[in-house]
Amino acid sequence: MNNLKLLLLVLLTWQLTLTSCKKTEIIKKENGVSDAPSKFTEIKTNANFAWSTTKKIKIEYKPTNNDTRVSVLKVEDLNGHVYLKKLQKTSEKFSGSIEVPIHLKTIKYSIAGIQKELNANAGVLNIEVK
Amino acid sequence: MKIKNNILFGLLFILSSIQSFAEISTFASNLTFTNITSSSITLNWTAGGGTKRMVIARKSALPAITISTPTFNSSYTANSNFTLGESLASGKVVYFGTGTAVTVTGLDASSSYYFSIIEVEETPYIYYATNEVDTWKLDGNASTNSGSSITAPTIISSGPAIATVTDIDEMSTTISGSFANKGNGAGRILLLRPCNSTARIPSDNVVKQKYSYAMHDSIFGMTRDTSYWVSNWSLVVDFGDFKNFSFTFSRMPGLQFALDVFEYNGNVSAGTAVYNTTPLTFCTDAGSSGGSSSAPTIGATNLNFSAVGQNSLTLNWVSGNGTSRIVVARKSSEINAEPTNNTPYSANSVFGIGSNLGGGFVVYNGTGSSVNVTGLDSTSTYYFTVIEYVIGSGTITYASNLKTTSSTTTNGSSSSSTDSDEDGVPDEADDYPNDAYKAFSTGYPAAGYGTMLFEDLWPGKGDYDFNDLVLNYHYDVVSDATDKVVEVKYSFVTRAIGGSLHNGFAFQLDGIPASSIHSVERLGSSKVTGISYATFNDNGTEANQTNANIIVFKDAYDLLPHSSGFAFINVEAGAPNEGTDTTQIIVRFSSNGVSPEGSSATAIADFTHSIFNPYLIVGQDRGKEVHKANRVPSSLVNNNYFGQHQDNSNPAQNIYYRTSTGLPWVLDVTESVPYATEKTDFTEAFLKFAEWATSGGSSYTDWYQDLSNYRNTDKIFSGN
Repeated sequence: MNNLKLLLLVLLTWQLTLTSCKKTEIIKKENGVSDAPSKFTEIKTNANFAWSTTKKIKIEYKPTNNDTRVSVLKVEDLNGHVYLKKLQKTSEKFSGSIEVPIHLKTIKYSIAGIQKELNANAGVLNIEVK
Repeated sequence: MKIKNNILFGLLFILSSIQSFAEISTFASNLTFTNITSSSITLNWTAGGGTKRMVIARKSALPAITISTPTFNSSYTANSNFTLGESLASGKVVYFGTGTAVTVTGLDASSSYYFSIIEVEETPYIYYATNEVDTWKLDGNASTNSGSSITAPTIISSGPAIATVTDIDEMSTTISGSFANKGNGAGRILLLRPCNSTARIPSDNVVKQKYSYAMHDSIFGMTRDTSYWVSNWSLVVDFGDFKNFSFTFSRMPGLQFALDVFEYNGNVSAGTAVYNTTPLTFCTDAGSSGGSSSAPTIGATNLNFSAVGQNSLTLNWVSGNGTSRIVVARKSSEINAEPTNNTPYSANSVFGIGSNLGGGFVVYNGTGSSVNVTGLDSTSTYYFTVIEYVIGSGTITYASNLKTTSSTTTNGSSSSSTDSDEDGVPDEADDYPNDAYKAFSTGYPAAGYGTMLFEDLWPGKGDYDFNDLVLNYHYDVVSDATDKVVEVKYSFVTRAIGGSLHNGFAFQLDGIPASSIHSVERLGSSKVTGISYATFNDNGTEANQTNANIIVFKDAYDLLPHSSGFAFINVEAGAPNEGTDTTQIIVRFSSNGVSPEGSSATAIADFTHSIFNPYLIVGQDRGKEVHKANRVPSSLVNNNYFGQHQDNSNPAQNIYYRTSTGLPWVLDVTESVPYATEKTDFTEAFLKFAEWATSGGSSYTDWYQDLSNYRNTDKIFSGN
């Protein structure tokens, strides 16, 4: 019988310890403490997360029929950092992509005397002369 | 006897608890996310030992599961549409059943969702595994994409704009007006607010409805419907492809309202609109019914042209005394009509797109004194007319009698700039003006260096200070006038060695056959002399590889001096700065326009950054490669390492170099960044890194930059 009491006492103590730990965690969350892991090993991500600090922007140049001009297509950010530079026939299609810092907000292109600024979060940079 | 009964009751309680746990001996596992769109995510999992399972979804954070939530013996109504499921644990119940998959819909775009799967027994009571221990569940998270099929317009509507308030009766008034230029969106939304308030930016992909005066009471009452509002005091009064507007509103004598026009693509009422976040903003008048205003008395003068090219030019002028002015361009002759008072005109600096006026096109409308006009034909004469105007209370008055006109002729093709090497690229745009085989050089990163940070104990996890090898990198892709890659100039700066293993470093060009490389030139002294673990092809690439692999150096410890008294180089707090070492390599794809025999030239469109695949060769063991997460190893990797220790690679599914929780062994930052001191957990040095990673990359995208509270400088090596 004494052994049985001892077993019960141990189990009850164990259960109380667990409850106490949970309460601490709940209080921490309710007080607005960041849920961000404090150790690298505590980070959990899904299998698709690429750990990348860049984003890909597709470049789609839409040709203009019967336009025989040839000019330099340049894609850059507002600080003049160039991501693409190539000779472009106005009447020919071009598809490509560039990799830019993920926090970049605005990108611009120039071709045939035209300059345009576009949203760098759009995913696709559609370029045309007119 | 009483004590005996209590003990027996306690035992029965414990036994029943153990019994209930035993019924669910395994939990759901292998949670994966597929078919991710801007509004839905499909979850697949392996079922656990329960007869059923519940899936709870929550935006931005894990569902708040506790022992009592979900509640023992309580049932919940699931709906795979996130907005319709029963609320539970600060989230919604999106699945309850026996299956192993659910497609959750009704999600917001560009948002992180967290999911918890809990095994359930229903007999004799509804028992959730978390009723036993609140961590007995399977968690995961995924982010919806931005719905890239719809992108924000890039050109907003522009002025001049007018809005006139006209009273209907004692209670109501009409606000009507227009603006000159539509933007390039499918439509625009018109928001009304008091003039002294701040413009509210509408959120993407949120259903909005048009306010109507008939619904006045319900919209402004206690139970107002938020779909009519962007925020407090920002009422949706119109949307669609309009330029003129008119709506009825409550009469508020003397109060001026502001109107904000936000350009969008998509459909506002369907909740798929994506907005340009910059508004055209203008105020109504104070409530008069409009009136005339005096025309300007001084016209623009001194029209002159600069930067005249084949297809563009800049027109400059000295403005008159109008509040604004329009510029109309016409090819071959002057415009033959005048602007109509009280009519706004759309301007576009690309000739041929703005409003048509007098046989020409409006290329400017604003308060400035110059415009760069593009889209012109070469060797053609264009006439430009500047007309001043004044905006009054609901009126626009043009001073057509004071218009000023001037003309010029664009350049012909014969006057184009010099092309010394005759490759078709003018010298001013040619990075190699005297080399017909080279035209352009584009760097990656576009500015400065990127940083690679390695852990080298793979397949075991390391200490995650990410300084076992730290090096900067930059490369310039040189292409010719026909978009072919000529050569790539690589530069690697070895900065720190925070591990005892003698590691080599190499990179693979994914998808580029070794045979398509013309040659590999190492500038300065070779860093692979005496290498025992690799042999080379005649072109300098590593032998026995399918893709082109270039070994940069055989052992990082050969590159930097190593002071006695310190275990490593440039990582320990207080250690001397041993400097850096730079390795430069040119990988040639062709020479004087000739590619290797039997191989086709590589187009720049195919040479994206994603083919650059750098890796460590650990401890002089050629088969032990450490790549970035999910990058394919080279042909010479020893496949026996995959799946060992903490590595959770699954080559059959193209999963490489990740732990079971998705952790990598390599970080690649697009800028040159400092690194953690020895044995410092990376998250303690870069304070926003963990939040970035756990958010799936949506929060703190600039975590690596030197911003306030982003770094703990005490944990960062300050030597280089």
